[in-house]
Amino acid sequence: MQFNFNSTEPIYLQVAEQIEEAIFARTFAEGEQIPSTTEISKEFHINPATVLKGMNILVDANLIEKRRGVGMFVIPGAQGRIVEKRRNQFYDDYVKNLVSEARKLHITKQELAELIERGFSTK
Amino acid sequence: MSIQIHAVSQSFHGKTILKDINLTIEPNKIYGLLGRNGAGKSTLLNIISNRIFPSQGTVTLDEESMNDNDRTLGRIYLMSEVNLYSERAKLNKLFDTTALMYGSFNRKYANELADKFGLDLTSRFGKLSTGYRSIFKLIVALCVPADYIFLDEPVLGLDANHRELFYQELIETYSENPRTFVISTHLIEEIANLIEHVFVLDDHKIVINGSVPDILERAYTISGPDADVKQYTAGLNIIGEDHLGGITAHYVYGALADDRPIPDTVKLEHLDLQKLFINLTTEKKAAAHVS
Amino acid sequence: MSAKLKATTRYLLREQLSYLGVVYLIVLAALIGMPLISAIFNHNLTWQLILNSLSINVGFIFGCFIFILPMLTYDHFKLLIQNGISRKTYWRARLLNIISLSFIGEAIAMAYYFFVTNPIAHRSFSAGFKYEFYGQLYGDFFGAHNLAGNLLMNFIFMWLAFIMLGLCGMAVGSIFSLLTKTVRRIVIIAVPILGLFFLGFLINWLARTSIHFNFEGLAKFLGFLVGFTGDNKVGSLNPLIATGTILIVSVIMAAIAYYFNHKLKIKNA
Repeated sequence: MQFNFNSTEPIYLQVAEQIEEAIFARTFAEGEQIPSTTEISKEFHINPATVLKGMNILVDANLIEKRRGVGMFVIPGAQGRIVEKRRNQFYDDYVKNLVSEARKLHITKQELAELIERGFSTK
Repeated sequence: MSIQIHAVSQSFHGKTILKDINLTIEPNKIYGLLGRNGAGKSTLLNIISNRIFPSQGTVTLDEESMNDNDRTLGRIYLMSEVNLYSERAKLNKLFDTTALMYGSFNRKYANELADKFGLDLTSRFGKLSTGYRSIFKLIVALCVPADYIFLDEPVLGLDANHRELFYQELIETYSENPRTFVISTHLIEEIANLIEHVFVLDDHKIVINGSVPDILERAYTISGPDADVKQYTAGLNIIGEDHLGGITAHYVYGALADDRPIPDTVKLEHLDLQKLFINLTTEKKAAAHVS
Repeated sequence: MSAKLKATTRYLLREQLSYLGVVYLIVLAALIGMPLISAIFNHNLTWQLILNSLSINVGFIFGCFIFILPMLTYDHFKLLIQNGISRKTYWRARLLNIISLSFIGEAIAMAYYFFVTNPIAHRSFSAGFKYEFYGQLYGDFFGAHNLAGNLLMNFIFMWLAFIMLGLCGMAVGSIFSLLTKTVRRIVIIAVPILGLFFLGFLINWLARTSIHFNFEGLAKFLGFLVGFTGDNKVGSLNPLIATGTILIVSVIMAAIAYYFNHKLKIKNA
């Protein structure tokens, strides 16, 4: 797991995002245990309460669950839920920006579609 | 359940060192006490631990005075820059003494830590380098059965590896056995995410006292073309500014103007703790003058 | 007795007993070793010489020790406040320490006198009593033949006297520990010099002044404090009055020590 913290967002949100990203990328597979609060805390010098706050966001989102006395586990189906969520956000997060930037650069709708086509073909 | 510092002032030979300090230190939290050299951090910690007397004010622990009181003093430990251990004393013996006076001491963990840090417990305190003196005092601080542990410049003289080890052990022992740590340090970046709550001492007063996320949520960098930035930040609490070419960055602490739209050309970001600290505690007068 | 007081007292007593042992060993080595070595070199080592070397005044050595010991006040304070021990507990622990150390010190001094020094001088037990400090001043007060009573009173008297000495040291030590090193040195040098000047000035002034002072009253009072009641003489002075004096001085010194002890603080903090 690799954390990359920036300063502009509260740390607990970043913790939640990074773990979510790891589940999305299947670094933490479904049904498997994720690092404990203390482990994450120790590794990145983050207050355990902050890490816990981040984890609780994921618990509330039904992505991870606490097993008493053992630790936190990825709930089966979590990866799929993250994909679904990200698909829903795709328009807001990427398409809007894409179109706005294209307008600034005077790229037409036709040209933009061609560029997307190119992006897919050079994969 | 807390340590209450009430209206503490300190002056020495007519020079003010602390001015009307009021703080609450709660159980089981990690605090940062930040301030520039000479801001009065060590003086404050020495007053809390009853090593010196304030000119005015009181310190209590759970409503009981900290002054000349075994019950309250035995529940705190201050690891200070000043060495109060005898130079001739062997480290092993100092563990024994600490155990005797505090009533207990986690000797097993202390030995384990000494091993990890490569500290020879048969040597005398006076023979240790600055770094190893810090390490020894840190080990005592982590193993002593106190509810409130104050660390004044805990990583003084420690190399990067030992600093890393210390932070890991601090979190480990804190997770296993939560108690309060108050860390006073110059290395803000290293503890920025570790501390839950921060006190900033500047010009002998407390200028910031709050939870770190709350504080950072109120700290902004507003950057962009000079005129646009100035227009947007007019009337806000500007604590500092930077200029690069035609680009201006204003650092603002406090609420933004809700009714004022943010211009397209202006970028709004949050400050990190270090940057906020620097802007709050340097050249305030000059900055205020410019703006 | 609270756990903290017990711990502090035990710590101080253990440390100071080891210091006392070292002091006795050094003194023994110096007072006995030196003449012996020189005797060996001069080839006139006799049994009597060894015995003479052993006739040291252990009580005097202990008196110096218990008076000088509280000069460590600040060092102990540093360690104790680091370990969460209050000033009040520190003062109490030191008081208990002086009382118990003095008991041990007097027991050793007395045993040494009666079992080493006295036999070397070829004196009987009861004769030896009259040569001791207490015996010389107060020996006859309870009657010359009441040996057990005299010895008991001797022990209690000297025990209390050492406690008083220790408390005087504690008062001075507490005041000294508030001063910085430089000031402390200045005081150590300046006080005797100023004292001599003052004495010279006083004598000079008394010699030239026309007023005649009657020192008889003062001398009488001082005599009374050590047990001189007017109708007795040295040897049968009243030890009970002297004991009273010792107790009063002790209480005053303990109070001074308490007052200054409460002002102890970490320097260069």
